[in-house]
Amino acid sequence: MKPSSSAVPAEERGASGRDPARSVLRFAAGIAVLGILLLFLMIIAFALPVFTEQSAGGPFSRIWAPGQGQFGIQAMIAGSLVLALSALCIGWPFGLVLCCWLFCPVNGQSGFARSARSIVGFLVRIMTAIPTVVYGFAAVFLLTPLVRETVGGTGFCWLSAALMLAVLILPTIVLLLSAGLAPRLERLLPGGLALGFTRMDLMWFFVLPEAKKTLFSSLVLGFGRAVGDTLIPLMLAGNAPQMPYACSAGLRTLTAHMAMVTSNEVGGAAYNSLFMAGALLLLINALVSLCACRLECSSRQERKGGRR
Amino acid sequence: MKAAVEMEDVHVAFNGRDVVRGVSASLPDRGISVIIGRSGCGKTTLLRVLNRLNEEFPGCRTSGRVELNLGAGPEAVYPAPGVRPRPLPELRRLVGMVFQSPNVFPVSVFHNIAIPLLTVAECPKSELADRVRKALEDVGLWKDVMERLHMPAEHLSGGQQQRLCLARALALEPSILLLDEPTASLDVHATAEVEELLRNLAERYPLIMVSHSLRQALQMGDRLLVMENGMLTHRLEGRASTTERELSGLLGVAPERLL
Repeated sequence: MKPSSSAVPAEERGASGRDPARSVLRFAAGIAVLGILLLFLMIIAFALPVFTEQSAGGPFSRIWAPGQGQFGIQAMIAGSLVLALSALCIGWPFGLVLCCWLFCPVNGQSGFARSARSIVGFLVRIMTAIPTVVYGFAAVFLLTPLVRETVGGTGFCWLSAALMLAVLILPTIVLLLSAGLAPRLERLLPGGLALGFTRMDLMWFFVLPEAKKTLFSSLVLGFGRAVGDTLIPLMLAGNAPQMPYACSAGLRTLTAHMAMVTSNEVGGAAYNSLFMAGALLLLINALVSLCACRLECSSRQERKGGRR
Repeated sequence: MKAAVEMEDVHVAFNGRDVVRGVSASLPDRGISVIIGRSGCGKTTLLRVLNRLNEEFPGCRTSGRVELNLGAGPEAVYPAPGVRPRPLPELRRLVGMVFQSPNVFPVSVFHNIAIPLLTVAECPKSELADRVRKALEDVGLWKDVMERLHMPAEHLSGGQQQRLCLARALALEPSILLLDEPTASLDVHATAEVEELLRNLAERYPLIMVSHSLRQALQMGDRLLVMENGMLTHRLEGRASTTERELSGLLGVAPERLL
């Protein structure tokens, strides 16, 4: 709406308060808020009866066997959490190391190392734009045979999905970390270098200890992205509705579970359990977002207050 | 007197644009050498030739011969055929530098000195407290901060922060001190303190200072190097032989228009 707002003369805008751009903005914001509220209401309204009518095979039991009236999604909850956490355990440290490597070139390095840095930085940016299904598809052909040979089983398992999810959340983590860490490092240059420190020293001694909030918010958002992803677990995790017990065994996440059941059922108890799964996912993601929001706000305030 | 710095036909270019063009100079190992000139004439770049800090910026090319006396006679600083200079961290430990605005690290007063000592100078832990104390005493800051060593350094006043930066450089036991407009961001009172301190330090170290103020250059400098357009145009030896007016004549500007 920018062009139209600039076309309206300034005094007209200020005086009447009926600036068209502003009312369109308000309307759009209102619709968005209303949409979210309705979504929450609907999910809760459908999930609540399932929650209150606790029967033997209800959603909080352990076994998923729709043929025998067992609709437990405990295994899926565990699957989601375990898979997201394991992807984070692989992806986050890797992202942090990659970020440090990108920002801490050693002086006097060859032109090759320098161009390698810019190529990798570019690739990380591009990775955010690759559709998830491409990762899944490539992994089915390239990663699963490898996993099958090394840890056994079918290759469609916890390990495959965790590795691929780690790759998926990597750009998110690297971009978040670099947005938080690079300006802090920049402030210490060139004074820190003049004392004989390398950029890596500065990162290690002065940037990372001060950037706990950036580190934590990248962790939280990485987790949010990992727990919400559907296609990678659906394509790679094997989808056996069982408690995750080994990295070579299959597991099923809440997201994959919802995708699978919605494509097969249109009603009944199996379908009802989906609302439970949806409500849980919504809850987890809302908590993650709130957490990230709080971190963002407080770190911004800290930055404002802390510097001269 | 022995020379602390020998430069011969030094050129520095950034992305093909010459900033320093053919500077040759020899500076003795005691006293204050002040580089003055209009802004943009390459003073800071010339200063940064000595600790090879220019190389940290993209597109920089340095040529010419630069020799420093870092305690073991003159030695080449830049790599050349058959010459292997000291590694950069070691060079920069021995050539201390203080910047225009105080750049303390976002850690405590104590750690501002202790971390460089431990990492860059590999000082044994047992000597650490003594050396931090000695560095702070050298810059007259010890009495002010002895009770508050673990307070964030950013809570100090501007003048105190600048003295902490000096202490941090001195703790590493440098052979030469470079000062890039060290009082530019300080008020009158803090400027006087830092100038006094520098005069004392000049008895023990060769100080090479870029200054933005003719008054300061004339009061502090044992010799003045006038730069214009990347070249050294004049060299004035001895204090108080020149007036501010003559100096501004050399620079081709009115004194108040220097900055």
